[in-house]
Amino acid sequence: MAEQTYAHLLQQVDQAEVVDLCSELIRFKSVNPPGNEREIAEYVARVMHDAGLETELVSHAPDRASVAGRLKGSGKVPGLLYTGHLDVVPLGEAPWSFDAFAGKVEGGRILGRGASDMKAGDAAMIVAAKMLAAAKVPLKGDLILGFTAGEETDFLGAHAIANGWHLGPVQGIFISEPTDNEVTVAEKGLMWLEIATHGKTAHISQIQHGRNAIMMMLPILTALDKMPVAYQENKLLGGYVRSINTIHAGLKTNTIPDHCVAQVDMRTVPGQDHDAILQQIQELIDDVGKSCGLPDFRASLKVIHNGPPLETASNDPMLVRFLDVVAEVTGKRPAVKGAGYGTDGKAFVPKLKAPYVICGPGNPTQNHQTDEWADVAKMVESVKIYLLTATRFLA
Amino acid sequence: MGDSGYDKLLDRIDEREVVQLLSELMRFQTVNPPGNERGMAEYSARWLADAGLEVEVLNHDQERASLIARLKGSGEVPAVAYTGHLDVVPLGEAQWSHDPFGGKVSEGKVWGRGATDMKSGDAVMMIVAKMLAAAKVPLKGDLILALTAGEEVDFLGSRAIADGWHWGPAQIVFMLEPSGNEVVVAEKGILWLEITTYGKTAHISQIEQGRNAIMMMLPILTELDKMPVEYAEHPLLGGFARSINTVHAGAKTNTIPDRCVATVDMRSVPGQEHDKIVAQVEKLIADVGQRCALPDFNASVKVIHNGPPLANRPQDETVKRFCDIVAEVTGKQPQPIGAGGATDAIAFVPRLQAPFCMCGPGTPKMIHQTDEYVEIPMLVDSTRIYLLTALRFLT
Repeated sequence: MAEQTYAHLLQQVDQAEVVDLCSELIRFKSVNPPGNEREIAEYVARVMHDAGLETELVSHAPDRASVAGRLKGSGKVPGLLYTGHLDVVPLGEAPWSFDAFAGKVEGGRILGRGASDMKAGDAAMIVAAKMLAAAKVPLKGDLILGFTAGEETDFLGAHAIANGWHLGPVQGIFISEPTDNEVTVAEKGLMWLEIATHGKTAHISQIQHGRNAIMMMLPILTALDKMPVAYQENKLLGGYVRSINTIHAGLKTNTIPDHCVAQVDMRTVPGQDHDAILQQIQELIDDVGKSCGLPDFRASLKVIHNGPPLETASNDPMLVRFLDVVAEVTGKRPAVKGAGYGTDGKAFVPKLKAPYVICGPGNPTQNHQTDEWADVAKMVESVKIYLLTATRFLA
Repeated sequence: MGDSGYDKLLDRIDEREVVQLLSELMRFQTVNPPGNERGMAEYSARWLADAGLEVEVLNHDQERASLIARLKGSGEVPAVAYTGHLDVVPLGEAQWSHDPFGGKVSEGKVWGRGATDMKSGDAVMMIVAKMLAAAKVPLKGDLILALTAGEEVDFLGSRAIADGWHWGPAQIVFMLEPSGNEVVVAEKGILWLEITTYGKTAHISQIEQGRNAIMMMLPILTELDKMPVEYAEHPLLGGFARSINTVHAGAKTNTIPDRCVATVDMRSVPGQEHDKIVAQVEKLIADVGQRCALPDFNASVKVIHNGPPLANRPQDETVKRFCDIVAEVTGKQPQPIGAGGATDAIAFVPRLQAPFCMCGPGTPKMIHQTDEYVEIPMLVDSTRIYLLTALRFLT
């Protein structure tokens, strides 16, 4: 068996290497917005290239880029995708007790914005790939690495790599978002809708010439709030939720507004089909238009953000094998969980049609926090997990 | 009433003097917001004091002032009040073909911001007072001039003058607002309400902890739109009108909004009482709160603008006399009309409890327009109207 051949690699994981790389990554201020991920992407490209991977910078804008790399296999089996994001969230208002972009190591922790979310995960995957390349482990399938811009806002980089780069087929998608090396296999879908109604402006003294866009919006939102949407409670994720969270119309109290815009946030669970929900809402709007009796009723519906719900079945063979790997490295077989957030999986999973898991060394309590840190021991563990995973699936 | 011996003063009206004064007034940039009426108030005060009037300047703040001036009569009859405002509306986006503050005279017109609305009316009353003072016409009652700040926004000046009114009773109040020298005898009331709902913010993943302010607002606005409001159609003003013209809530699509604010514009007709309408809206909100079953429902209503509907008694003799004077000057018997409203009359008329007319030079279609102008013949006619009015009512 392969593990006999490559078990020694696990002993060679060098803590200093993964810590130094993570510190280096933290020093790039890839705060999103605005992102500015180009410099860190170029740096990662250089590291992967020097390690012997085929690499490509995926450019989005003058200051923004993602990076993809490939450690070639013979092509006998489908590859694996290891992915993480390069951007980090803003520092927030509260003062930090250390330099958020110095990447300092102290008391077994690496400190800084992005330490946990998720430059520790990026570093672990890169080091695992470097070690495989250096050891010249013959692979039967490609190990593909994708490090993305824009995950914290719009999945910019993941969409670009998923759609523009020849990736597949792959056996599995691995995302090293912070889970404390636990395993997450599901996330809610996300659909943001913008509903606009279109009227005609007029001064109140000319009210008969006006068409009030607010009056068109009220029955739409009232009906939308009551609209029944079918779903099944998910064991890991709970239920479907929706909320009408913004509405804006009118600049002046004496002027009939010609435009009203409302935004709706919907979070779906596996089994729900976004296109079907969308069609249901379009029909609802059409019905309101017919029944409301408002002259010149006009409304439009736009999707402003859309990512499907994701779930890997608990008996999926890839997942079962991965859990074995994690148990072997950590000494404990983790229970699978659902995530309360969305990941780059929203771009990769539908495109590659492969099962996915989220497992990374960062600590989820540290996400988006002041004085963020990551545990060095977990980072070493994560390198081992991704090293062993690659050998089990590809060697 | 006939010629008191001073009607020949009408022949001494010097067109050039009226035009010159108007040009002078137009050089003051009293654009509101912010107003900056102080310079014009002080200039007018000096000008009127030089003409022989008692003058009182009311300072609202560093940059803003109104003034009141009196040409004393013997006190045998109540005063006549001429009112106008000093402020003008902003220039708007469009390019002007003349300097809007140059007071340029050409093609028989005076051009600029405020030419119509309403520095022409201001100039008219100042010239009339000066001519009466210069001719030492013995007056049986005071001629009172009020020139106000803030009419275009919040009635700052007229409210201050009305609140502190200590110039005795008046037989009639005139607003020299642009009416094309037509006579306006009724004005709609204005009532602006601001409705606010208060929820609790939360990220959508914590939706059970949130209280969506939009969901509280929807039933309020839906009910408010249908709320029956009693009124009797007015022959000059038509009916009551209301419109929900602004609604705003929410900054982020993924966050439950904790506040939603809507404003409503209501225009009432004589016979309606604003306090009753406000009480009705308060009750409606309370009812919605009980019926809607939303936990922690919390809403408030605030009056942000309030001026009563105004109308003279039908067949009011004073108004009839004024209409006859207009006919004598213009050769055409005016048909009294109503207006959409909100002039300084809402401050002066309830305080003075006197009949009122709105009549001034400049055509209503020029109000707030780019390349605003007033036709000089109309300006002169107005001067004749108000000179004759003072003579007829006060000698």
